[in-house]
Parts: sequence; C-alpha cells; structure tokens
Amino acid sequence: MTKTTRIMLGVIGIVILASIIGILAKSGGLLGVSHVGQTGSKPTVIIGVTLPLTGDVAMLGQSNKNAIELAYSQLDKTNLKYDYKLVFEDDGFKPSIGATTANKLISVDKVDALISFGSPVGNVVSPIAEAAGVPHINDFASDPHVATGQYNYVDYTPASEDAKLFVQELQRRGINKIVFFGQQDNPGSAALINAFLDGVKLTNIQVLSTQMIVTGTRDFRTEISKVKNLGANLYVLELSSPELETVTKQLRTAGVKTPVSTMETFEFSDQLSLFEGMWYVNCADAAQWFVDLYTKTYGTAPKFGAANGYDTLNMIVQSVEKAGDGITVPKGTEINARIGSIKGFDGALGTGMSMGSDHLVASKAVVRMIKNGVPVTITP
Amino acid sequence: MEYLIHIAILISIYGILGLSLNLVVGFTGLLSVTQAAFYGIGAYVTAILLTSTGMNFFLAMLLGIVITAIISLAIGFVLSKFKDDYYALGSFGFNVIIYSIFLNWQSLTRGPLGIPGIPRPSLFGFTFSENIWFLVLSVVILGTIYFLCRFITTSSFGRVLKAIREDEEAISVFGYRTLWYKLAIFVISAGMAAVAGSLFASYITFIDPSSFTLTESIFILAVIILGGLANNKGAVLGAVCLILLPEILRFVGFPSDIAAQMRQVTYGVILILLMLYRPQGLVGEYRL
Repeated sequence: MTKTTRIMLGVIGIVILASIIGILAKSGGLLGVSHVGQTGSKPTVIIGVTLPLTGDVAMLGQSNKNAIELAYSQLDKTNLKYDYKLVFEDDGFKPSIGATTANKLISVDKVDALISFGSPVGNVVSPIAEAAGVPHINDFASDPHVATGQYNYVDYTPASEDAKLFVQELQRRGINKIVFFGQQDNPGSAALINAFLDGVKLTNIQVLSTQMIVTGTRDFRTEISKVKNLGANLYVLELSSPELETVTKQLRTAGVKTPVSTMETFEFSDQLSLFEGMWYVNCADAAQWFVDLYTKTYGTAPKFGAANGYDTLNMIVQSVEKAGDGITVPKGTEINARIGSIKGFDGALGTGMSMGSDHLVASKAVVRMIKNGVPVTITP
Repeated sequence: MEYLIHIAILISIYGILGLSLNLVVGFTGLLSVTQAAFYGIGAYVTAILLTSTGMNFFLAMLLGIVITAIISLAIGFVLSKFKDDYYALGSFGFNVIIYSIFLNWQSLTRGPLGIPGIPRPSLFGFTFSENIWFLVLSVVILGTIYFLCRFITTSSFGRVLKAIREDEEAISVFGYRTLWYKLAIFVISAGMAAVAGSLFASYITFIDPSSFTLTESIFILAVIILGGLANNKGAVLGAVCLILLPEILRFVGFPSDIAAQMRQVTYGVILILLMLYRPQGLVGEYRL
C-alpha cells in the first residue's frame, strides 16, 4: 500500500466514522438508545442522567440508576401534564467522560434537565449545563462547588454536616483520641476528612495519626503497626469497600480491640456484621418505606445515595409540572426557577425539604448503629 | 452539533498527545509510559495559575511547558540509564510518582477534590468560551504541533533519532552522543504533552488526578500503536479512532441494564481484532 493510498484510506475512514456518529445521533441509534420511558400524546420531557455504571463506583451508580427508575415507575402518569423519558449514560466516574456524556445528552438527546452523580463529574457537568441553560441536579456531590451558577444544584448532605455531627457525637461519648484511615485517591474521603479537621479545631479531640492509603491496597499491617500503640479510643475508617473490611479484619487480627467508626462509609459495605455494635454518622437517612420499596423491587437493599437519586427525579418532575402548561415543554429557565424555589418537598430522604439559596438541598446527617447486621438510626 | 465539536476537541487534544509520544516511542524507540504525567503537569500548572493568579492562558501554558520541560529533563536523565523493558518500567515509576504528587500535595492541587472553575482562554479581549472557537484554537495548536513534529522527524535530527531506534551502538560509533538526542526528544515530547494538558484543563474547566493515571499513559500509547508508530498521521488517526469508537458504541442499542458494560466489552474486542489483523497499526512504519 502506498503512502498516498494510506492517507486516502485514513481520510475516508475518518469521514465514515464521523458520518456514522452523525447519522446515529440523528436517528437515535441502531436499535434505540439506552433509555426508559414511552412517548404518547402528551409533550415529552427528556431527563438525562450521567452516572458511573462501570468502574470502581459502579455499584453505587447502578443503585442510583435503580432508584431513579423506581421513582419513574412510581410516577402517576395519567395525572401528569407531560410524558417523561429518561436517558442514561455511563461516565465511569471520570470527569472527561462526564463532559462527553453531558454534551451528548444536551446536544443529541436534547434533554430538558440533567442529573449527575458525584463531585468529579458534577464539577465538569455544571459549566456545560450552565452554558446550555439546562437545569442540573447532582445527587452525590460532597463538593458544594458543583452547585455554582444559576442552573446547578446539589441534593446531597454536605460533608460539613456529617463532620459537625460526628464531632458532636465524639464529644457526647467522651472520645478524644482518634486515628484516621483515609483513602488518598477518593474525593469523598478527602472531603469528609478535611471537613472533620476543620470542625475539630476548637475541641479537645486529638487526631493522633492519619494513615492515607491508596485504593487497591490489601495489606495494611504496616499502617496498623504504626498506630496500634498510640492509645486511640476510636479508629475512623474513611475507606470504601473492600479496603474498609480489609482494614477492620487486619486490625482485629493484630489484636486491636478499639472500636471503629466512620462518616458514611459503613454504608458501602455488604459485610455489616464486621461492624456489629459500632456507631457511625451517615448522610440523611432514607425513609423506611423507600428502603422497603427498593428492596422489594430489586431484591437487595438500596446502596448509599440511592434515595437522593429517587428524590432528585421527583424534584425535577414536580418542577416541570409546576412550570409547564401541558401544551409545550417548559423552557430551561422556567424549570430552573421552579427547582430553585422547591419548598416542603416530601421524598425518600424525609419531609419538608427545601432548596437553599446556595442551591443545596438542606438534609441533615444522622447517627446510625449496626444492630444485628443492619444499620439502625439512633438519633434523628 | 456541540457533541461533535466536543469530540473533535478531544481528538485534537489526544492528537497532540499521540504526536508527542510518537516522537519518543515511534521515532526513537524508547517505550515511555510517562506521558500522562507530563500531560498532568501542564494541566495542573495552567489550572493553578489561571485560578489563583488570573494569569493569561497562553502565558500559563508557556510556564506549563517550561516547568514540564525542566521536570522531564530530570526524569530523562534518570531514564537514560535504562534500556528496553527497564526503560518502560522506569517511566512507569515516574508516572506513579507524579500521580502521587497530584494526589497528595493537597495545599497546591487540592488532592482528589481536584481544581474546579478553570477559566477558558482569552486573547486580546476575546474569550474562547464557545466550544466552536475552542475547537479552532485546539486545531490550530494541533496543526502547529503536527508540522513541528514533521519538521523534527524529517530533519537530520530526526534521522539520528531513527538511527538510535534501529541500532544505538552503531550510531554511537559515528560519534553521535545519543544521550543528548534522547534527552532532547524526551523534553520536546514532554513540552508538547504539557500543551495538551493546558488545553484539557481550560476546556474541561475541572481537573483531578484521575485524569492523569498510568491508565491514561497506556491509552495514549494505544493511540499511537493503533494509529501506527513512527508516523505522524498515524498518531492523529489513532486519536480519531480511539475517541470516536466508544462514542459510536453509545448509539448501539444494547439493553439498558447492561449497555455500559457491553460497550466496554465491544470496545475491547474491536481493539483486539484491530491488533490481530493490523499489528503495525493503521499506517505504522515501525513495530515495537
């Protein structure tokens, strides 16, 4: 093959690939895009969802998707002004892919509202949604910066709320010497530890040591040997699964009987018996009816943050219904105005929730305890 | 349209990365997997300067290139002690080190929380806020780097690089100090990767360490292997294919429950088939 032929083939290849993508974008796919919902006689409102369905946090993303689909299935479709269609895209929890999925949802699927998951992707989606004038709610962001701009919101308990309650609980229980295990490549872990260190400044609580580990580490004996004789009366494990369970088991094997606790991360685990009798702080509690409904539908308990997904979809639907006349789909500005003024919202995370002027849904953290292998809320 | 523009911008950025890595791997025969680290340094320098000092993008990009070049010079000196597989392992180590710095120097980089709100470039009062204008900017930069690479690889300097790749001892016998050639191309390549990093940071407006992992270096390596080693057009063609392919798969109607996973599997299978039937890449002139 000559050089010229190769170049020609390359150019033809590029044109063909670009054409395929263009045609598929216009037609909606070879066999239909990955979406939920049917269109009928009513105008259709399209809600785009970008979340991690592959990768390290796919377990949480899938649970969030289930909850959004559950909320969709629960809509009283006959009495709504609009039909709704959900379009899901996988971003793998990667910011650059999140930018791609957000652009696709906005410019190809022409979504009327967007839902994203987590701070890294949320921070990328926010400016894109803002520029396009599409209301965007992130249902799993610890970083409030995601809510920057007119069209961006966060429906997730802020890390500062978790940390504030955690400090209060430590003081109430007379715990003043703690050791942290954190995950250095986990934004949620970093946000919670930073918020805790800010909150603990004016107290008598001492952080004796902070051991930052990398995701994928399985042998923590060196870190444990460094901290086991420091005299801590609590080990705080800001780790996702399976590091969380591995550290706990290796602490016990090393003869450390000190209790362990966490902000949020026990909820990642499917081995809750390891933490029997341990208390922890969690972001706003999912209502029992939601847990039961989800469990009945999917045969497994909802993961952490699923209730936020359920509520987020309902907030958007309620806002669209209030903003529109049922004849034409309301504009982004109209839906946005309704989202920004949400008050007294009753959902899976409680009743009477409101959208704050900072674009954050005010939801309070709770103290929970593992009893008989099940998380139980011990303070409202 | 915005979606296609977005994809074209990503292709431009990865095209620059492919071109830069091709100088080291394709033309000089040094199997480096540090490119994501240099890409990241460029991105972080630009992001930090833009968000904390409000500096002009182009000046920040220039500083990013300079800082990356200095760091790559140090890394290149160390890597010059290694050959073949050991070179690859050494470069692997440096990628891990720099990634760890991004992750742990929290006072500067915000660690895993990343740096949000990075502004778009502006020049003489004109801001590249619309994607179409950003695409023009990134294509102009891609074109400039493409012609720079072509100039380098067709010059006598480039011929020495190819000679080093083919037989380093033989070229040394003729009095060429190969260390300096390898070091020079490594630094030039790193500087180009920094340009891609600056564009990425300013375009995406948010960066965190997850964008600059070893996996990213392997992806850039895959771009040039698929496109074709030691061929500048191949580097760009590889970027086109590897960016477009997963996007096309988004429109294939896999069942909703397993769509994301099926796309990944299909993407993997297509890459394996391409390597089986076209091991030298699409327009490659050299095989590792």
